[in-house]
Amino acid sequence: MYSTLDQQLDELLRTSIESLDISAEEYRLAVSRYEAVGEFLAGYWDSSRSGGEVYPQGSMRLGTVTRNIHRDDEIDIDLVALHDVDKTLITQADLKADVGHALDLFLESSPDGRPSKEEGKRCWTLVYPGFHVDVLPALPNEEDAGTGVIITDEAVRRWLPSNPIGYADWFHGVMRREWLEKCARLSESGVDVAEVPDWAVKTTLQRTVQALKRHRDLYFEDALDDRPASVIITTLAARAYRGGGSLHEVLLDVTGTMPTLVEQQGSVYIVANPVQEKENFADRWRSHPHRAQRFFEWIEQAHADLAGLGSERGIDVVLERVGKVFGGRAAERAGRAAGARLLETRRSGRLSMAPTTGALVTGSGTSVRPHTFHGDPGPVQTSDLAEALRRARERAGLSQEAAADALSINRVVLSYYETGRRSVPLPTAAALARLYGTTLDRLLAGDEAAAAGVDVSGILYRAASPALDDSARGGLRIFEQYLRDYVDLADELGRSLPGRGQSPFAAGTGSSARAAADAARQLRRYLNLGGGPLGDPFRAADEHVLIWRIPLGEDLNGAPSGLFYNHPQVGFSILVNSNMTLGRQVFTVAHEFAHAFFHSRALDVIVSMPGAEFGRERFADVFAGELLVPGDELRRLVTEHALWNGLTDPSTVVHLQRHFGVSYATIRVRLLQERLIDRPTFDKLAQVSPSRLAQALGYPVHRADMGNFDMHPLERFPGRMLALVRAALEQGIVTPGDAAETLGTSTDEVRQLLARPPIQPDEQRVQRDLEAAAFAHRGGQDGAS
Amino acid sequence: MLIDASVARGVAVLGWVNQLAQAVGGSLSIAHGVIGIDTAEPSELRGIRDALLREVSGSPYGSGRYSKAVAAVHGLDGLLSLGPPTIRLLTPDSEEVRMAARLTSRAADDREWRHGLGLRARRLDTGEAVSISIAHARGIDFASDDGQALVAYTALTTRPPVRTRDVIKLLVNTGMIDEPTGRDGYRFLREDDLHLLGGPDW
Repeated sequence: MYSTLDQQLDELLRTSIESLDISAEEYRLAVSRYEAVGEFLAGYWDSSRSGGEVYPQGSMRLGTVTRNIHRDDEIDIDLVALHDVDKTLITQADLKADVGHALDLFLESSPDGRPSKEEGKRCWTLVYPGFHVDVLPALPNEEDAGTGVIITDEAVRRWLPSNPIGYADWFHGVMRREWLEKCARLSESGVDVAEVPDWAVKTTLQRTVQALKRHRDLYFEDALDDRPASVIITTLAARAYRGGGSLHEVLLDVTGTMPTLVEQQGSVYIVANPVQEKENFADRWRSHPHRAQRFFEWIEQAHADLAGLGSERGIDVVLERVGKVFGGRAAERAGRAAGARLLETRRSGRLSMAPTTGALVTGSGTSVRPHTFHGDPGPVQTSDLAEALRRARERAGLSQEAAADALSINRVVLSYYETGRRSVPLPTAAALARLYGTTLDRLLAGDEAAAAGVDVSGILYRAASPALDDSARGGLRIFEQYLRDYVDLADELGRSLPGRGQSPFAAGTGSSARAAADAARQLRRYLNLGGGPLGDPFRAADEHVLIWRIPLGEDLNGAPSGLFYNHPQVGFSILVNSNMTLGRQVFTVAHEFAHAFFHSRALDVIVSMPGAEFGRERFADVFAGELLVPGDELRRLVTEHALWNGLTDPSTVVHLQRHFGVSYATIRVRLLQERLIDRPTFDKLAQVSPSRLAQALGYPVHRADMGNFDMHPLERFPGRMLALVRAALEQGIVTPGDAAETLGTSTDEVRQLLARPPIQPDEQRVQRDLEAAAFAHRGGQDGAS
Repeated sequence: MLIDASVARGVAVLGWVNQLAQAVGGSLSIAHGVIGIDTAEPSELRGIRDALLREVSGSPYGSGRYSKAVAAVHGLDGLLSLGPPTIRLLTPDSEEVRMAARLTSRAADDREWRHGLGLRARRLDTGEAVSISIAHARGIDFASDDGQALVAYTALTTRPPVRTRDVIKLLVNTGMIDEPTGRDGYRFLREDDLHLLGGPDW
């Protein structure tokens, strides 16, 4: 019997979905049928002196066969008929006709079941009583030395690549760990695993796919053509599946994540075959765009239905909802199983009811909610706030993972909050609301629309190319929130805002190194920075630019290194991806200065993605190098210290790096650009560990050198923002708690902020940053933004 | 008694949580969100504990600040690991949630209402707001060091404000600690450069 309500729900779900399985007898019959086809075709091809094989694909191979609610509950079996000939020797039409001819001969041989034959778009169908077998003609794909095939399609002239075996291997790989664990548990319970067929051991992922296919069939009962293909559901579910968790948790997680995994390029939706990138499973949505829309509507409904199951109490009510989600037969089966267990437990005298949850439990009737040790959890705030949080997140374009990452909370816990399975702490609800661009009171009033103001994240999403990943989107939401707080605080304090920034310089044109270096020298003069080391790059232009440091993701293929935004109220703003090493952050700040001071006349938003090759980006890279390590100063140092012959020595380069407070990679690049070293020396210098060398030379070692750098929460903010918070605290406009919420930190850090001397360049912190910048080498690719 | 994060932090740092629970009848109440349902759930006290841990990491090993920060983290860990009956977590019901939202709202009419209560700050933070809402609705004494939160609580309930100083005096008056110890503890929280509690004289 169950010990918790969660287990009760999971058991009901499991038995419901099991009812979608075909029986062992049906399975054996299906296997014998397709083996008969396979043997016949093998013999047919042998007689023509070529070869071939027949093997199952699709749900049969994946272990996700689901009873179809249409066509009198017939079972689908998909086979590949692989004829081993070169594609130059046969046309698509001939291949299909040849397989069709072979199947005619098969039918004439009076096979068991006496099937009939029908022609499909890509395949032949053998219709047996109770199920049908789709036979897909195929040839080996010579361009794919592995398991790839090419298939026919009457609608297109070219051969279509496919790889059903590779796909199934990928799918099984995703769930391999859980499958092995299940086998191990069977073994521990005394079952001879070798005797158990693979199809009889179902993982949570397989059950999830079955559940979604059934939900889809019911949802599209009146619009069969709009049904998303099973392969789309299977692919997205497997990609969303993270392993672990109960069946209900996985269903919720997967349905919540699936929509975010559909890529979009312009108006084209893409669900790529994970083993055959050229194949887009959502290709048909191109000619039927409304099907994409219907897919998103359906998966949202599936998520809501499944979430609804978790918020119900009482077996009868849950079963009623199960019936709506998976059909009456599934609910009936689950009800019977639950009833049998109930009867058994009652007979044994171990039945009781949990007072707080109403779940039927074994043992003592005083059990408390799981994972709760403070007691008295009180009422669960069900649908209103939970639902509003989910809708607001979706409107903000964030996945659960992105929102959870942005606020450093567990994604599964966020899922519980959104489904009302666990009361969301109000401070967390308020923080989520802020992340989504709204407020707690608006959410409670049922108004999830974004608060008035500039849609900064929307502007930035659109400016970024390619599409940003989840982490980056969460980071941009936080950036928007901080900018809004900055405007609010200035307003509360009666401070005027500068408005859109105006550069004092003419627009930087071209990408020549000379123009970029000249621009860097102009900026140094304008900011009175002299010709030496820059000092603290994050404060160097504090009066002109607001610099924020926010995590945007570690994978720089989908996350920007930084961006420049000319905000209509606060002016020049730079966002630096704080997931990067400090060395890269320093370089990125300098790079974004180029955009702010030399490109802002033409553009309000520039998102810097690594590897961008635009002239503007090259200009900014050269600019950054010159700004951080001025060529004149570099040559002066080298000359004065008579280092000409010593630049092949990495120790010398480390000394120069420390002098300028940049990464080792940056100083190498600058030495090369200034032609102080040649390419072989540049490459040779890359072969040392600069942090170890620096340590040996007596420089202090920062923990960033060890790849263990956690930025202090207040370092996310520009000095002007901290000054505003401090002024608001001193004037009693905000409380310490309000300030802590605004800065996303604790009241302890707010107290420390107040105890600091008024915001000045903080020499100690500057030194710490520079030390870290000088040493940071994590990732080993510093020096380019 | 329902205590907010600053009072909970103070008594935890001093290691007097159990004594205070005893002094108020066996249980201290803390609102959900100020403390988490479990140790992993984000909460204000968890955030304070993490901030103190950063002080440990950022202070030279063996320095006075390092030692004080380690002791404070230890005290917070002790508090965070306590369950009933010593620490009782209170979750707001719908009405209490709505009142908390009014205390934190940016809407003009809510702000006007708060001005009417005597609040000068633009709003309360959510942890204070939910604590006050629960204390108000359930008639529980509320202790806080946030001046604006105490203004709101007193205006809503007409009960007197209770600060960390008063809580320590309660410990003295109930014989849980002696007065010199209480005075020293309060001075430490109030004046030490790690704790910076501030507040009125003893």
